[in-house]
Amino acid sequence: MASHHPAAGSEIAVDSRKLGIWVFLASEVIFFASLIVAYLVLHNRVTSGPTVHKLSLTIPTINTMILLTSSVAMVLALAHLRDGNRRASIAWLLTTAWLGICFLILKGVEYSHHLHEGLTPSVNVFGSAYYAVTGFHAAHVAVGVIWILSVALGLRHRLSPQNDVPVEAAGLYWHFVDLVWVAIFVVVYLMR
Amino acid sequence: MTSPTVALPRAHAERGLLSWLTTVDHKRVGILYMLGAAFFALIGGLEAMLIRTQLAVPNSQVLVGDAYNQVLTMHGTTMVFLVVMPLLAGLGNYVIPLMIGARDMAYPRLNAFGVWMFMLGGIFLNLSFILGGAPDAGWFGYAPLTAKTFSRGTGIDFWIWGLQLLGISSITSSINFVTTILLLRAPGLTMNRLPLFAWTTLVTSFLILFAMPSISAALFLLFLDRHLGTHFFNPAAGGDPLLWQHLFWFFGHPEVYIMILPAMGIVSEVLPVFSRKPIFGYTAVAYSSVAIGFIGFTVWAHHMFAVGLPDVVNAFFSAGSLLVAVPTAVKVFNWISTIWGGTVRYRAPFLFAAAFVALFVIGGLGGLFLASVPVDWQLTDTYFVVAHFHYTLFGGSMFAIVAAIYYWFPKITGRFLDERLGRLHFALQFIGFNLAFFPMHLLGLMGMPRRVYTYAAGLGWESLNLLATVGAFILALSFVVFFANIARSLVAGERAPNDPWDGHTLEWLTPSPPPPYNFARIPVVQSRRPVWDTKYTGNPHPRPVVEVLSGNGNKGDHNGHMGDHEGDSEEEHIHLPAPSLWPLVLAAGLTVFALGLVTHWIFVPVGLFLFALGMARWVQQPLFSETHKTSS
Repeated sequence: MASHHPAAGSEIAVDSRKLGIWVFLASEVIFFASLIVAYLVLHNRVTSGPTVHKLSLTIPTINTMILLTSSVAMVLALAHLRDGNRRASIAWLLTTAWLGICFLILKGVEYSHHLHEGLTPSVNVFGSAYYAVTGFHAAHVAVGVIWILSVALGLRHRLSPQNDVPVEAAGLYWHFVDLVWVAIFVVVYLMR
Repeated sequence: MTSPTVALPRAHAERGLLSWLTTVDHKRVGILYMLGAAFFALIGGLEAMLIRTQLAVPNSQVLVGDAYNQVLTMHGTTMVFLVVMPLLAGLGNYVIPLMIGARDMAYPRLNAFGVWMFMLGGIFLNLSFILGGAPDAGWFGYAPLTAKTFSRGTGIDFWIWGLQLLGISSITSSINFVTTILLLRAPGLTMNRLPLFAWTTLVTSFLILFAMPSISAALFLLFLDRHLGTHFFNPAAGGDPLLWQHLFWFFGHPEVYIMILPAMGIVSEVLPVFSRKPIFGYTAVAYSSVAIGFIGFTVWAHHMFAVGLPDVVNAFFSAGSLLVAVPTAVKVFNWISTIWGGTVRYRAPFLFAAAFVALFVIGGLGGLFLASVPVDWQLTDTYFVVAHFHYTLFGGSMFAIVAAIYYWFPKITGRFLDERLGRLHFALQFIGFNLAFFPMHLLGLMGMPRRVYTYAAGLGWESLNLLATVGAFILALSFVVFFANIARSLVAGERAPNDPWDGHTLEWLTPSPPPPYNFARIPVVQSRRPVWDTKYTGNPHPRPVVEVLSGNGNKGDHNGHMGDHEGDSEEEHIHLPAPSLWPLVLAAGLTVFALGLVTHWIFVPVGLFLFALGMARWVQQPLFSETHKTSS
């Protein structure tokens, strides 16, 4: 009982922290599904002002590559930790966080272009839906960056091949946020 | 249990206010949930009395216009989010770890966070009454009633953030229930032997996890509409009010199963014990809960038959809604078959549980009427709907919750509730409830619209409305008797033994009330009725198991206090999580932050500071403290 391991009665051999994250992410799926449905329903109902064709593909494509690369870095961080190479693991965690920050900076640049060109959240339904979907995703990326940084910096002495769950849990969340971006990239930027 | 376990002196207080504010014990958390819900039930009940007083006679002036709208909205919101859900969460928190032979929930501090978030969220929501007016758009908050144009005050903003805070509480407690029930069962307690209350709570937790994010997203969008000028629900700019209804009812319909499934689980525990028979068709009851959970996500648009969806869509949702009757009826027949031929003891828990079956059937039949599109077109927005959902939520959920309180009160407090007062309570509640709500079926058929603060004389509605009001006051009186019973029994109730009802689930193996660690030795389960096994199969002592103390090195690292007795089979350490104030600080931070968004910006940085402080200290504090353990 006094651990994160299942009791002797359970058929399910999984660390309780990991199961909790999985369950939480399942719930998050519905959150983003709701936002994406709202976007799909509304984005073509523009009465006046900018439409989806205002969006440029350059920055989102770079951002997609950045996030996918960051997922690789996250995988390497966990693999190195399990191999007993804690320093390499922390270096890869910091790389992941740095890529997340790059994503957020580029997203900010993209937003400022939009605002400059008159695509604002209140200009029309497309603006509302676009900023809601991408904004809530960006907020999740920001939370992920803080999470990974606190694991990499705050817990760095406690990480070990036996205590890899903090890294794996942050990784599960990070990969989920990346996957959501892939869905948003397809729905918002490619399907138009 | 054969081997007494002695608790060593603790490093922290076990009594007093601070011990409750810092508790991470699932039993205390459960009690806090129930006390908080009882407080909000008084407010919600008072609101109900105001509504019935206003509607007692035509053209009444007690509570008119916007005041009525506020009280109506807060009555619905309070009873759903601040009474029924937390009462079920509180009962689950108290009972389920005991039922499955665990020493606590999987995440004790997250559990404490959940209860504080519920209490502060409820207080936050009710603060709206004194800070510029309560929400007034109904508990369903239909757009565009909630738009800034039509609701200029801060009531809707309080509603938005109140529900978000309560949603956070529900999500965290659901993650906890799922993990606890899946991972912390005692040896031998397979899913196929899991008590039915735990089964239904597991299904409910999944429903919360998949339903709540939908309203959470909708509430965010609504807030953006009100304060950032977006157009999600504004039809003038291409937005869609129906989008709100879809997102709301995608949450709102599973929500009604969230409130009824654990109640069904309670009844499935109480009826067998008082009929002195095993539950009839255990597997059917368990799997029909899962079926209700699945079908529950495919019926939401039956709340929207009148909005003009395409016929084929209406047909789909009508069929889905009718389909819910199948697993529900399976349960009803199982309950009846359980009582059938049993040696029934007509004690208070049985009376309330049996009444649940009868009243819930009436509510369910009303639901079948409404699932039919043409009937719904006739009856939607009338008092027939009000009668229907009060039969399911009060006749259903609330009767089961009261049964559960009579049933588990001896375990929680070590004293029985008074049986004679209990019978009086039952008579008043049963008569009052039916007098209050049955006439509403007829009023609805006569066309009386709901959500309207008065009605004209001469429509033939007067006597039934007066009857309903009389019933409501009898119902209120029944709760006065109930609270008096609780107060009296706490000080002078008959002492209860460990197993007062001849029960069969594991909580009856523990002392009444149970010690903080629940079980000195974790029992081994051989069947669906482990306690009956020990009493009736000649196996008086469940085989004790020595807790596996040294799983691997990780565990030692994590707990940091393996002690000197490791490996000694005669010794057993029970590690209880250390108390923590930080869950409360974290919940307070979120509440203050929300207050800042609604009232004055100065609260925003204060809330963020508390949030960051709570989060940082929570992460830094180890789950188990060095000095805090008990051993035999």
